[in-house]
Amino acid sequence: MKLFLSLIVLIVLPTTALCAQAGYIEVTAPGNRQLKLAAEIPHAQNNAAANTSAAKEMADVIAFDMNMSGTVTADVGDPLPLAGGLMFGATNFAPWLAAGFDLLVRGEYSITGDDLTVEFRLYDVLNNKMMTAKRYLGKNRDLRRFAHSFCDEILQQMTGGRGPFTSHIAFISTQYGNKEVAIMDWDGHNSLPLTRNGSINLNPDFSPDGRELIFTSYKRGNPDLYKRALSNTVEIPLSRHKGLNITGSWSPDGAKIALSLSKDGNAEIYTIARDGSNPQRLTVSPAIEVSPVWSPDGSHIAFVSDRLGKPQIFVMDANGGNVRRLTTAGAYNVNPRWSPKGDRIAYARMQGGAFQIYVINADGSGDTQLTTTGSSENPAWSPDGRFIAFSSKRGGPAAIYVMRADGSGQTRVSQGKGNATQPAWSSR
Amino acid sequence: MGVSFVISTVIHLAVFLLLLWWGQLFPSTRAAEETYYVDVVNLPVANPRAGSPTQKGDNAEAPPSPPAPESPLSMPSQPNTKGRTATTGKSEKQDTSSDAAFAERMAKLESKAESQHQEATLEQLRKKLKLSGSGRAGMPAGSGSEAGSDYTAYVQSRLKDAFYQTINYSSKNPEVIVHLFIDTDGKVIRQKFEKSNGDATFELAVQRAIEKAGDKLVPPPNRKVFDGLFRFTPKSITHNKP
Repeated sequence: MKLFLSLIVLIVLPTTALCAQAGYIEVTAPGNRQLKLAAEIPHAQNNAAANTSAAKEMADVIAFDMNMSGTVTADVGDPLPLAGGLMFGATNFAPWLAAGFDLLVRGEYSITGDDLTVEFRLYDVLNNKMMTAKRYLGKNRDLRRFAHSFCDEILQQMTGGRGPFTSHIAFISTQYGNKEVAIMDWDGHNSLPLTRNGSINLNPDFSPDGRELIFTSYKRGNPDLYKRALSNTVEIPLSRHKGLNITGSWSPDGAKIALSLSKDGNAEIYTIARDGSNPQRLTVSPAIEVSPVWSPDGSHIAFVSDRLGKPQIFVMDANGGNVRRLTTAGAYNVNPRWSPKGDRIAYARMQGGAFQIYVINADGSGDTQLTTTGSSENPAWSPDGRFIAFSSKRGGPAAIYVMRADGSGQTRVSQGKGNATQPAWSSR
Repeated sequence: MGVSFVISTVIHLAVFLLLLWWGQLFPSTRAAEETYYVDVVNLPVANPRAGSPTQKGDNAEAPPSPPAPESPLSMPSQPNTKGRTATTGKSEKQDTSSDAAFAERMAKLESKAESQHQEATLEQLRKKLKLSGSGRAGMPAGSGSEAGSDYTAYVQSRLKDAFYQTINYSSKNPEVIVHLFIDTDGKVIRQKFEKSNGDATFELAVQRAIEKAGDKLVPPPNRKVFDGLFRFTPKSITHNKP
């Protein structure tokens, strides 16, 4: 009995000592707290002519971006007195603190003809301290971009990673013709058509530097792969093999493009150089293989294959070896997109006659449904992995939506007429 | 059979009568034991007409002086005789000439009993301290001393108050360990993030909490620079001296 008690004491005492961590004081604290940010409508600088609509638009952009980020709750605030301007004036934080705000964005702008100067400052209301400040010089048309850019700065301050708010989304729109490639800001503003060929254009994808775009076009009858720069209108054919030249995807280093070609009979996964040369076949299967996407490190490719009867998502090494099935649930899984961090893959699953967006870990675990409304497909990650854009049909024409990576905050961003589908998110 | 039964009955009857007679011959001389009680619901009051014993007021009548002890044999350690309801049951001969001497003796006895009781209580406390081994007063896990809360606990309390207002994180198990240095004027002169799980949102929350708390710190005792390691987590802040 004594031996038994001694053993118990020997086992329990060291454990207790470790857990207790003598000298530590444990204090209960509340859980996560949503910070509140006030986006004050910017002031006109030096009593210059005020453009209240422009000022309000800047505050609205900041509030929208920050609300979508999910890191804060943002409200637009009416301007409070700012004697002496941002540079020399002192901010009275008491009213903002009393209103429950933790952070404050104040701005000052001047408009001279077509020239726009804006300065934004982010304050910590609690500590009466400026956290960051930026001044932007440009044209009036840059107004929204300046506000987006400052939101990137705010997110950098708060999370350590820049936001994606100055990036763009390319998509297929029926507003400008048949099915044209169009581009817009991430929040749906400044939408412009990129192609005007009156044909069917599909599957846009940005180059890693965000300056070029590849897409499949039927403008010459066959679905061929084209490349064009955003800065000009020249469309360069990259792959014009007989049959399908579809679902092109840039490699992370921009040196290769993976695509699906049916030149040898059925659709198989190939890679080509960025100029379209040197096609290399990666898959050999009697089934249809499409939609290749690269992992962020370029070591793997995910793709869709119906080799088991129904379309499922598979992963293989970048040289075509070591093919393994990724999705095991659902009978129809398509549109894979690898997250920028490489840990997850978003895809669309057909269930009950409609598609829904899912996300799954790269090792096949953690299969999670993100959308439940309407029919949603073609997910595309934002460059920071914070958001997913997707096309969805919810009681009207198909539109581009954006949600956070956990499925929250689903918001329609495309604003034009007609259908908007197949989004591709640019780099910053 | 019948004869034996009759003899047995007679013997039993004789013994019974003998016992009955013996009790009358030698009556019990034992005094009835006293019974004491304290009514914890209705605590005794000095003067029932004055209401609650804690009640004060101009209308309250002055309580009468406590009555003299009824019996010299009452136990000193027993509750106040006001709560005694039973009497000794034995009348004492009153000798007016010896009343003063008797009262003096009683006072001495009560004083002696009281001092013995206090000494016993002190001895118990000494034994308890020896057993705890810390030699310190207060709760076993307490960080304070007889002199009061230490500066570490004070800083930790200020940080906690500020942390309530700033806490915000984006990872599952955020943790930050910060080495804080507070100068002789009570200002945070240096903060070194010793460890973090990489949640920048949480790091910002901790930094804001330190800035907020650092506004109102009193100088460390003895005018020495204070430094300490503080671990910030969503559920708690813990501290360990380096």
